Amino acid sequence: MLTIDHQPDGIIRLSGRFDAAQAEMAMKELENVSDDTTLDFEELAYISSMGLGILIKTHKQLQDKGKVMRIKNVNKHIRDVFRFTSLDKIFNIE
Amino acid sequence: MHSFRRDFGELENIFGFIGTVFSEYGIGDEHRFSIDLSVEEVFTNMVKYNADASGDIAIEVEYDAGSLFVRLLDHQQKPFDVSAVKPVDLDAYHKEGRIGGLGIHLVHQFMDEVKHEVNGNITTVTLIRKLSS
Repeated sequence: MLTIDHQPDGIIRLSGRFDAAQAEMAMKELENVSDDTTLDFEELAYISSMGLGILIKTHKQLQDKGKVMRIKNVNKHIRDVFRFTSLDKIFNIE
Repeated sequence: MHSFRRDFGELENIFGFIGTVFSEYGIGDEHRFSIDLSVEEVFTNMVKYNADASGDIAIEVEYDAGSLFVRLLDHQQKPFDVSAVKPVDLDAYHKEGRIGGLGIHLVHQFMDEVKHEVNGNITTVTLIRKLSS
């Protein structure tokens, strides 16, 4: 189960597990993001390649508009996923 | 062995099954992420490759001599062939601005060995991970 919570301060908080079953919902939640955005992963336990694809797409749509996607509070396992895919060099990870 | 419908909605049940097996074998949760992710990537590829097919995908887990063996069995005439997936050139991937196609790359990063066997119309993908505890 994945929860995506748009906070009043502009931070988007992701909680739970970002697997293929959540991709459609996540895409809808993130496809309209159009300003500088921080994704807070403090409560995100898991991500698979389907989730990565949505993050890459969100990153690109913001980059095309001259905006920035930041990711903070990444756990060790998700950090490994970013490292194994070299996304740690693409994404702005705090 | 447990069977799961060819549906991404089964992932929650699959993760539950893996959790039960981990408890039975007393395997630490620190290994869950890599196993969950690798099973999800192979399972979803099997589903996508034969999207209109019927027939469940079976998963069995065995723990032996410090290694975990997870087998995914699919019954299809033209099954997903994990061994045919080419390695990802990450520099080119990011330079070309591609999206998707990183799943099996991740499986090879997290697993010690990935085996692909075909016996008649049964394809078995075996994920092997040596556990330190």
